[in-house]
Amino acid sequence: MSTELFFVQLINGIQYGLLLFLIASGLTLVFGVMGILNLAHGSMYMVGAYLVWYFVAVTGSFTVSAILSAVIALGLGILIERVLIQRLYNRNHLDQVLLTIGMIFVFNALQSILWGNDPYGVAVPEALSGSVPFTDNSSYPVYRIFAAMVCIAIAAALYFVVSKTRLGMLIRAGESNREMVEALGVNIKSLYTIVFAIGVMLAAVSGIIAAPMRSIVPGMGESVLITCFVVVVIGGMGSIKGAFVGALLVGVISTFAAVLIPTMSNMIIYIFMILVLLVKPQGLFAK
Amino acid sequence: MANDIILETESLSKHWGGIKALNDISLQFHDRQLHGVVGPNGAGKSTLLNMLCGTLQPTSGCIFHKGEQIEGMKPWKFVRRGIGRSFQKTNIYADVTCLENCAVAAQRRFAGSFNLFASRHSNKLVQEAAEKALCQVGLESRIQTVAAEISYGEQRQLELAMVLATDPCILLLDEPMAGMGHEESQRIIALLNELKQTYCIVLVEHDMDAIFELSDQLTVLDNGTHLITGTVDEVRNEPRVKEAYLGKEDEEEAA
Amino acid sequence: MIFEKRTERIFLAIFFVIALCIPLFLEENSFFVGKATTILILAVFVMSLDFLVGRVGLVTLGHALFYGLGGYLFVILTPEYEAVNFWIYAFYIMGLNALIALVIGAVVLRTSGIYFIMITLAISQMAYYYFFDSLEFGGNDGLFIFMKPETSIFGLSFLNLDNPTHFYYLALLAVLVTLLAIKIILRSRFGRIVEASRLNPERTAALGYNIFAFRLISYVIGSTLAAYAGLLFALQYGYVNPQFMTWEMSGTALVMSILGGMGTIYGAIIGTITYEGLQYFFEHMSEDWMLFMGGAIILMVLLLRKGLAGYLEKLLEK
Repeated sequence: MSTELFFVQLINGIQYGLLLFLIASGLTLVFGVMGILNLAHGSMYMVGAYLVWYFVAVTGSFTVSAILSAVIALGLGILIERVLIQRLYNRNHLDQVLLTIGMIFVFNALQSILWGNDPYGVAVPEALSGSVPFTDNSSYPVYRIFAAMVCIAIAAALYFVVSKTRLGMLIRAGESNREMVEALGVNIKSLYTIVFAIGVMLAAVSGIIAAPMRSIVPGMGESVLITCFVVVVIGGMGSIKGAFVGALLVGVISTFAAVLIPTMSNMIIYIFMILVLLVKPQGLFAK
Repeated sequence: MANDIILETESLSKHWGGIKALNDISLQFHDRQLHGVVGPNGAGKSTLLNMLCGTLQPTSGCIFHKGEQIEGMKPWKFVRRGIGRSFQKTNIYADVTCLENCAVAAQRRFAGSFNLFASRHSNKLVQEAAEKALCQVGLESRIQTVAAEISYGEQRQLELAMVLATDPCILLLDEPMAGMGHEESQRIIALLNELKQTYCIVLVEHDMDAIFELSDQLTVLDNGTHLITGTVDEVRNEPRVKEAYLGKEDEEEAA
Repeated sequence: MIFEKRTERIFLAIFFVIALCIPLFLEENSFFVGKATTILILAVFVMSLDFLVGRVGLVTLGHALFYGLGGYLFVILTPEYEAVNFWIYAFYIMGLNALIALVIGAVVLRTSGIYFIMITLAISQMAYYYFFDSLEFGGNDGLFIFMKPETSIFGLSFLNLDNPTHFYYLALLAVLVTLLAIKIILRSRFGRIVEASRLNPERTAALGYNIFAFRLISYVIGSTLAAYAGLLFALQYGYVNPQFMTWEMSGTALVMSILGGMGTIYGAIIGTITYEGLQYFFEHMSEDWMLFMGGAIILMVLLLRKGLAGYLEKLLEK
């Protein structure tokens, strides 16, 4: 493999990993703080992508569409938490699995009803549509660099919020000791609503960012969900730092595998996850 | 009257990094005797019990059962040798009957547990052993009652019955009377008096009246070290013991 | 007795009576007989999952792996244009599957909780992609089964697997045998310790039992029953493909089991019939059947806390 190809794939892998992190961080945040395994998390990613496609078709502006879609996703997250998720707090994991699978059905059906089953695409916004020259022969798409930058920015913001703000302190406290947080006079219900909404937003925003880079098709939520699970398990359930490391590893490994061992590339991340679990059964950064 | 030494530790120690939970403990437990173990909080009593039943591996030192070295073996090997342990925090099968609780404990003695076909109720010996254990602790009336529905004190009795159902030769009891009222405690004291005529009992308790009444031998631990072992009178008159307990009280007053 | 609850006895009596009569009433309509056969086969699969998840306490998202293996092992082991003996090959397949389950179980049972869920999922995904990407096993299209096996025992043949009614009764027999086998095992001495390990693993280990061994044996049993179901499904439709072992398949079975009432075993039958029935009903009502399906599932989780069997028991048990 030439050095040039190596670096291109490496950057591709990192960029893919950063996107995965965005989705996975929402999943692991909700699980870590609220103990809820949200199987419909992939559906939120799908919702983000479909919403931005729809609004671009209507308004023509990617920026406006992106913001609109993110706001709607936020509202959706709050609504879902208040109406459905709240009823799961005293139930076991299996009931959560069942309810969130029901949600997947509903979202897939809504997607089909509202927007149909044809594959769609979102054009890369004008301002970001060029390529940056990389070597004499190749160049790298500007949009991909932009996407990676946005993911890093959000990751940094997440890190800042979790470690430096009062909300972050409550999040960290809520992860280990719910009673203590309640004793601090905090309304745990509101905290959970906020956390769930943030989780949904993270998934939807990654769907928005990813939209110009891949086709928008039915079932895109489920395929991303599975990869997400692998990331979260490798990193350690509930650990955002773990999700970051896990996502980058998965991103890079699957990108290189697709080039080097195409017949086994689908299997490779699962083999990797099994290896990690055999050595560190709780994931790399388990709590 | 010297009864046989059935369980023995030699320079037993347990370190967690820099913390010495137990340091150089050498004790002898005799058959058909009740050996009390007391000490202020953090003295290492639970750690000692955990090592005697194999749940915890010692950092150094040996444990002998009937002369054979057993430290380092898997916990189920300890159980098979007849070393039974009751828990401080009640650890029963809440959703099934008391009889079923003891039947699970007793089954290993009589019947192959890998039998996929024979009904669990078909072996009469298991049934009888379970009932006998329940009667021994005074729970005859609760045989068919679901364990979650009996009182806390009765659950502690059930905990004891489960150990007895395994037909042990040594009973390691971790605060069996924790949280019990006076009448219930009296019942357990009477039971233990009876049991010590058959089994070797190692009793960790905070209830001093019970300890003084029951112990043939008494060991005091303090901060992981072995302070003294002797008869109840010997221990009560030992100045270091008073210091260990009173010293703790002074510390608490000063704080 | 092995059927302890009144609700259970009533349901099973009604179920088997109706089930025995279905082909008699639907003789002309082989489509419905075929649909009913598929439901019965799925019920075997879901019962085996209910056993593992609800009674042994092993929540696995990779159960469909063995369902798929049942079909694939048949295609691998049998010559293409020859009608082999069903009973002999079913025995081989289940035996081989048991060995595979033994090896897999020995690895995955070292984990527990959410990690067990994930590792079982990972292994079934790996198998899915292996068959998906493979050329010799037909890739995503899978492989066809051209000759259905013959069912003679000592020269006496009374079942013709090309006949939908005969196949239906074979599937019904499978439901009966699976139900009895699971119930007997749960009532046995082995089952007592398995149940104890689920209720309180710490206590059971402290009593001297080797929990790993009990779980491993249970895992092999559950997986092999799933393989038998997969074998029947493959034979019914004459093909096998990677869709048999997707995580969606495992997930759907889990949904059916929870819907029916996890851990009751007979609830698995209820759950399978209900799910398939609802899907059929909604599919014919509207193109957007998934909406109603999802809504129905959500409502059931919120309102029927212990599944349909739990609800029935509340009504019928004193």
